Amino acid sequence: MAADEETVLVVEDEDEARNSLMQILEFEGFRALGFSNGAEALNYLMDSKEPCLIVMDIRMPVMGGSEFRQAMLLQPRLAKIPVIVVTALEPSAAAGLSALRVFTKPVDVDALVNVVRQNC
Amino acid sequence: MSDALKSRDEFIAIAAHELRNPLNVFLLNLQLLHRLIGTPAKVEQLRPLVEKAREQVGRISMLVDRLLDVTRIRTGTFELFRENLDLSALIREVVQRFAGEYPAVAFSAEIAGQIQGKWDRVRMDQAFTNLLSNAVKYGAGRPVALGAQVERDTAVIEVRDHGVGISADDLGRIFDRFERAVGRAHNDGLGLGLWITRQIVQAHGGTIIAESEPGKGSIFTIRLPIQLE
Repeated sequence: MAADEETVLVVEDEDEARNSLMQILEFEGFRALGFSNGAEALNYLMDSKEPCLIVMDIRMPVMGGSEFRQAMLLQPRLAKIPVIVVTALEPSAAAGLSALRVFTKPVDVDALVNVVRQNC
Repeated sequence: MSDALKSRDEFIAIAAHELRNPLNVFLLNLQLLHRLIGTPAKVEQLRPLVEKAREQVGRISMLVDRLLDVTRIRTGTFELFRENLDLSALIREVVQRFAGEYPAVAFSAEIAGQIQGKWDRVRMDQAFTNLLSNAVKYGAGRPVALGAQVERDTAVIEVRDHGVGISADDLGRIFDRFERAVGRAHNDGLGLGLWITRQIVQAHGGTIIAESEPGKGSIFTIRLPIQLE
């Protein structure tokens, strides 16, 4: 299945943060799809085109970002999708997740959009 | 490092972490506003963003208040301002507030007509708000029931949810500071709500207990002596 070059997944359990980031990405010309935990996003990825990038939080209910990323890394098709981590934890919490970039909250939106633009 | 210093450093780390979430939403809303202002966006599109940013400032203020409460409690400067209060009316107000904020959750209240006594209105509001917040947060969207009755000379208030519940191991520590039985994955709150609630109840001479069954929900019961003078 070919990659979906304009779609960015936003995996974040906090509704306000997810919706606002999706609106910013849409304003910047990308298609944003939101999921409130890793399990929902993984379920979507199973039978959809790969997005050009995933922005994800680490601490989320049901399935957190670390578990989600580990599940992705087990599947070659999903392992190659670039991931940006946005977390309220220390950046070291993203160690081992093979993240393209790690942002701490409050996120530097312009820098994040630049990374998205370079990959989508 | 002494335990006191370690505890203080952990406290500061948790507080900083928890403040990052509302700050993040606040900044995202400002960034979105900043982008929309440069377009022919209508006031109706901008207004909700301003309102959301304002809500996040309220959330940050609440977190700061909780941090200050911890300091007040630890330094012994936590004071009650008792006044004549109808606990039933206060509980109805709090339930109405939650019903407005969470229209998807069914709240029911079985409350005695009047429960008069001398209590600190702001602190009791805070205690009930904390319990209802938890019931919503861990209630899995299922109904939340609130009861308030008088048993002899004691007001008995019960908050019941039908959510994830608390394991027997966790029940023993949920009233401790920074403890959150299932909260490691949930990213709001300082894990201080139940600790502060217990401090408020105890300062009024009362008790609070929790009963729970994992997967079936939890019941928190506050018993407050009715003091008329």
